[in-house]
Amino acid sequence: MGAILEDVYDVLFHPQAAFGRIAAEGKLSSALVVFLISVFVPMWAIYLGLKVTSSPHSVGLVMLLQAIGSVAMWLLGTAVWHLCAELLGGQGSVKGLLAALGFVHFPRILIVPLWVVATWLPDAVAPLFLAGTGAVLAFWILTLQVLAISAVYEISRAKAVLVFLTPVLFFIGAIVLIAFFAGAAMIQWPMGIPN
Amino acid sequence: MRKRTVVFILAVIVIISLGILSCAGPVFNKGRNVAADKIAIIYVDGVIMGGRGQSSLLGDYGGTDYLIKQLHEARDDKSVKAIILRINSPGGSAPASQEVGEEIKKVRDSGKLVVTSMGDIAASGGYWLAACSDKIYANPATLTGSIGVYMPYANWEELYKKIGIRQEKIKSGPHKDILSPERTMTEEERAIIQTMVDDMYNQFVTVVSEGRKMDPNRVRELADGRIYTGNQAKALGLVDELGNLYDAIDGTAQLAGIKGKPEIKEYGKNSPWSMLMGGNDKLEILHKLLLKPLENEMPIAAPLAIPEKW
Repeated sequence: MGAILEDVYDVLFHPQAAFGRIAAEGKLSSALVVFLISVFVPMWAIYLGLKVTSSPHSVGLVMLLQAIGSVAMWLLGTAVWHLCAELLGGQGSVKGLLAALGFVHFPRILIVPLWVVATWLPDAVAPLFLAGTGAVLAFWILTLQVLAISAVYEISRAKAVLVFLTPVLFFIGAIVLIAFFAGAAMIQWPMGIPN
Repeated sequence: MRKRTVVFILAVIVIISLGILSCAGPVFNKGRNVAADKIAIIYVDGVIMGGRGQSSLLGDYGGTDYLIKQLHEARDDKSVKAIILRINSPGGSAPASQEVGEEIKKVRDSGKLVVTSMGDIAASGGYWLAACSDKIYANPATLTGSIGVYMPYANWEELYKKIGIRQEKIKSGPHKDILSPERTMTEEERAIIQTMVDDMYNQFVTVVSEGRKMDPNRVRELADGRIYTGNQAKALGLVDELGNLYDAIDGTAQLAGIKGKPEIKEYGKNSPWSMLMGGNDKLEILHKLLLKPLENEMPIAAPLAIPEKW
């Protein structure tokens, strides 16, 4: 337990070194514990925050999307980024990346105290506060993901950013192509006016 | 040790926050608009026709089935306190208008307020729907009225003779091909159709009479098929208030007893996805204009509650 606390501290304050160590030691069980805490604690807070302001359907949907999205991002993200990192010349293990990425979501739990602070703020300010702090947390988590890739594959941060963005760029390209071809297939072009 | 202490303190803060949220969460939301009362806006655009309208991957668009579905959704949504029908329609088929009109009455019976806001035009079948609502708002220049029913019939007999077409039919009964365009209508057939049109006209008059709480004879005086402006309709008692959609929203909020600014829930809005995946009226119109200019598409034998020219 003590080791996990120390790992969490290092991830928050000395991430590059922490990810290198976590990947090298392959701390998968610790990563799983931290990941579950990082996902379910904020989810519980969101549930408590939304259940009084929204319909049960929207709360359920938010919870489901949060859970599926987080697990998918962890597992699929690991697989895809490992492939991208290897293609771009990185050297590292997929197990190490999985362990490191399990820790990167930890800053999410800060949503809980932030949500409490938001409830004390005026109605007009609270959504802005939550959006602003949420954006900061999201940026922090993205930064940790880049640092994790950089540490696990021993590549530069710039290259790690490229690895991180490759699947996103590929996805955007695929969507553009699909939209282009689907649009071309669906539009009925005028073939001429019958005489 | 310092590392563990810092993370431990962080964990304590998170646990306390969770406790505050779970135990005292509702206290914090006391002053907030917890479940805002909503006003649903349902759009009735274009010709009112029965059926499913256009279907796409993401649902159905147009057609009274879709309209009725939206009415049901609004009725079942507990946060919706009132419904505004935003009508921009010249009318349509009488049965389709009646079908939606009856559904509006059922929604009202369920305890929800239904208010009409007329746009450019809410005539004939459009007015049929409006007459079923609790209150009608119209712009001073809105075209409304046209209370009446007609059955379209085209006689192409002379044209067929000129181009050498003579249609032969084997009929199961003498009136099976009533309203056929290739021959003149007989007096007997005309009488049959007239009876149907009169019956439907009477139904229309009853709807207006009951909806507007007006004497049927007075309705008959007004219901000679003519179109009125919103101004004229207000003076004649066919419309309650003059105003646009936002006036209707404010008035509906007042009627429904909603304090403060009501939350608006719009039904049937086109999303970017729906535009991409289908149900695009503009493409359909373009297709008809460019590819089917000479086709005669009048398969409607239903009586129309629609002005002849609009």
